[in-house]
Amino acid sequence: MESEPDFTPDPAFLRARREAWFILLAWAVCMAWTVGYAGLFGYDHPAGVNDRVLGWPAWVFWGVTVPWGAATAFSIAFALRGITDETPHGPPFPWR
Amino acid sequence: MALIVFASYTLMVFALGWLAHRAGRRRTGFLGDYFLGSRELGMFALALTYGATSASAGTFAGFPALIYTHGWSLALWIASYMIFPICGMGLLGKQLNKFSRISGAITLPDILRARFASPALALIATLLIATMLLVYLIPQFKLAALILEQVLGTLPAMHLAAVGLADLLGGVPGGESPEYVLSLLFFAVLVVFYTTFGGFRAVVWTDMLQGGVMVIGVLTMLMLTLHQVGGLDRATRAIGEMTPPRFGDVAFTTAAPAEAPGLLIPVDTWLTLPDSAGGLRWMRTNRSALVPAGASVSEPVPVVELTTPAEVEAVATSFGGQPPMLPGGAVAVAGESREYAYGAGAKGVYLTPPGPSPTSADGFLPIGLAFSFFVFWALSGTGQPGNMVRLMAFDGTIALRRGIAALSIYFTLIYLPLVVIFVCARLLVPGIDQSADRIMPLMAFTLADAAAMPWLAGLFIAAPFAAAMSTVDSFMLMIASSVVRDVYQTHLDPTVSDARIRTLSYGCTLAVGGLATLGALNPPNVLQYLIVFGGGGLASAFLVPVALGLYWPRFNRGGAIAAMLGGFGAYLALYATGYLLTGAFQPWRPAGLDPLIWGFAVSVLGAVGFTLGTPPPPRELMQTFFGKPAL
Repeated sequence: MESEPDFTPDPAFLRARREAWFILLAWAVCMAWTVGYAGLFGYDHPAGVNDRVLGWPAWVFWGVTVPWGAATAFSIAFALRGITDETPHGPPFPWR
Repeated sequence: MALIVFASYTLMVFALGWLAHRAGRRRTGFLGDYFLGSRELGMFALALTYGATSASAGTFAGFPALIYTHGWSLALWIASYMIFPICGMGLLGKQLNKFSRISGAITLPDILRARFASPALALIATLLIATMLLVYLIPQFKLAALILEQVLGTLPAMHLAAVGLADLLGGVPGGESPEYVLSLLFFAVLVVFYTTFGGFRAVVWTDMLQGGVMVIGVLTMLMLTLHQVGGLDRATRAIGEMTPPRFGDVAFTTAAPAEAPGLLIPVDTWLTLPDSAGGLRWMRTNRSALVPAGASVSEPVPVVELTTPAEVEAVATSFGGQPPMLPGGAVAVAGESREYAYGAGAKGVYLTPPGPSPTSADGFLPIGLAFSFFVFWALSGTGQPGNMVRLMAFDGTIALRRGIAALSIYFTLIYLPLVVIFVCARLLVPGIDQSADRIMPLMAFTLADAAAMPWLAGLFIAAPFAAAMSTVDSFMLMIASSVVRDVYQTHLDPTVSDARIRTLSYGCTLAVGGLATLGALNPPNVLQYLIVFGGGGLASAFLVPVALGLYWPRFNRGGAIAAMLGGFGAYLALYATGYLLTGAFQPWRPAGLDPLIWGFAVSVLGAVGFTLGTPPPPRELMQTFFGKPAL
């Protein structure tokens, strides 16, 4: 693989890239939890009518509703605290 | 009363479009204002316009239809929306907005042209955006027309106007009812008017109204639904006892030839036929039937036969235990009957994945597909050009951060309640599985009538109507901006005046609306599947080249073109293969994975392979977009 060319990266770019990796990681965790839980406790599982939590089928409650709440809380927290503010403009574009 | 509420909403939309047009005329720089609102989106505008654009006709018709047909599995199918706000806005937002400001870009092809110094790439992007968004538009127009037809169709004035239109045109184009065509034209005029003359500003303002209508409508429906089914726990227990219905078709005969204008057996007519054990089979028509004048038999129409004893008992009780009489003394004649391919006769299938399916022996949502859709919604949503354009328009990162937080709450209030409402809908509106796209308006009227608040139906109907509008206006503007900015101004007339641009923009938006209306005259029956196809195709083409373009300085134009064409080509090839194998509009899914997964994989391989095998971009280009600004 060729090495990256020689220029000083904008710290704002590096911060944005770091935040993007963190968001992708969060997406992967949500997927593992939701699809994994459904795979273990939803599919091919005896559908007993007693398997309910607050009226939800149990696999939906623990495998979708609870992670949905956690993901929403994470999204709000990360958006408000984890994403840094940047100035809204950049250098003039020379190609126009 | 429902009509008054619905009409009030429509008038507000007209008013916002006119106000936006007046506000835009005071601005300089027509293109930047018409297509990007002069980059002034604040937190609430960003969240609501992003959310309203993402929530389309599919959300309020296709998705409820799937929930109604396949049960609680749809909670898993849609689960990726839990993380979609931060993926869709957080992954690309800051960099897209920055690149857009650096380059002066107004459209997504603009950014691609600037980032890769490649007019060819921008042209490819423009062609893909224009064609795929047009495909996406047609089911939205269809749904909106269906909703209007449901709301207005029983009015005598509507029927007279529709018949008059049919007489004027010498028949009804496309084979649909005159009421559908009139509804379609009304919707087209409304949305084309405010989009054409109000531009991006009108789209955002109406999105805010539409976003509010959607969430209020859904939450009100949720409360009424839970009240009418006696609570979620009771509803889930009852649904756990359900077995999937049987599908069939039935023709109607009369003792004597029908008199003019014929004998109509309306849609949603209940009928009974004897079974082999001396009991009764209860069925509901899913389309209206007509015994033509002078004839004694109708064409067969689809029916749904209930198989759950509790459901049958509830319907029979509503008729006082007696078989219902058919209009005009008609007699039903049964055609073929077929069981579900997965779940026939089995209790509990509506509670667990994969969920029952009339056509697939693997059920509705095998585990591979569940994984695919978790990738699909969050990442394909991130890769939608319509969403990316909004990220170019916010006025600062504070708006972005707060918009993500607001959108996360907004989607929680929309999607989970929809699953609950339309799972419970099986208890309130049984037997429409062969025309499940109608479940939204049917539930709206059922809930409102049961609550003795008929005006509420107008609010509930406005929600899906708003969803369709909010998607249609954005996509129309995207197509028009691509043609005007990325084809005409860039390649044909770079010095074009503002006045001419204005005329061209209005004309293009009108033309796009006209084309979509023509396409919806003979509408497809696979609304949600067309939406999935359109969204997946765009994501396969755009997510990888845009994301890598924003974060990988070494990524060059060869890699971007390979990623775009490779991803889209792979996606299209899988749909074409599926069509050749089955004759139906469904993709081939190797290893059980959705074509989007394969499209992404090919796109990444193309991006990395071509980039590393060709020279890097010019240093000046990388410095401009990724380098530390000069002090």
